[in-house]
Amino acid sequence: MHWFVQRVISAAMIPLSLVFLVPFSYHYNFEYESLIDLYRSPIWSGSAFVVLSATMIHFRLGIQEVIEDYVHSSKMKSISLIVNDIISGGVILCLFISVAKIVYENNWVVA
Amino acid sequence: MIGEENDNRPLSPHLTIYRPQFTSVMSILHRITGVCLGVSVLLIICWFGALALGEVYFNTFNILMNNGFIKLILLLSLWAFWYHFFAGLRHLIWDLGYALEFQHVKFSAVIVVFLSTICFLGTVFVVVGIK
Repeated sequence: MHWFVQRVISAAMIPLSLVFLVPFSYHYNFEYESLIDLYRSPIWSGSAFVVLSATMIHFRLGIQEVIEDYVHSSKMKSISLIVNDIISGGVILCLFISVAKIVYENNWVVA
Repeated sequence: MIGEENDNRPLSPHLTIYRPQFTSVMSILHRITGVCLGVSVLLIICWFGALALGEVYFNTFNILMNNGFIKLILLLSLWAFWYHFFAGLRHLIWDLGYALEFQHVKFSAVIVVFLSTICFLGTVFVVVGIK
């Protein structure tokens, strides 16, 4: 299962990472307003969310493999795997909240 | 499953005593670049977090991102990205069962190093050219 999911996400990462390498390196150094203008669109920020969370899942699975290879005591291994899950899940949750906040506040909330 | 295995199972090759070969260095670099790229992804996610928190936070974060050390990290992540990209592609081709013979493995390793260097330089020129 782990093996299969990792291959599927890896294959998906080929187009996703290439498509998003461009905006992420291009938007580096942009001003706040122009970025908000861009990412207030649900399509832009939604796709950024998909790409970044797919990357986090890919990262989580990769780290799991590293832990399985290099952490030898089974107790430490279980703990590290749980920590790995919590961190990656937490990061995806934070990303979701950020993206949702950007889209919501800049489309429907009149300041 | 976790906990079922005993603690005596064979260990991974110890990097410190394993004699480096071209292919083994390729393999461990794939893993190292993967872990390091995780840090850059976290930076991008923090960037979104700062964007969501508001202009003051975002500007502070931008000053941090323009620090020379962070810029060096981002530049290295660009190389790491291309390396991990092509080495990952090589892994996927292996998983399909192709190019597993020894001479092919060595050849594809050279291709990966070559392509990742070219693409890295290309993106650096494009990104610098935009500025």
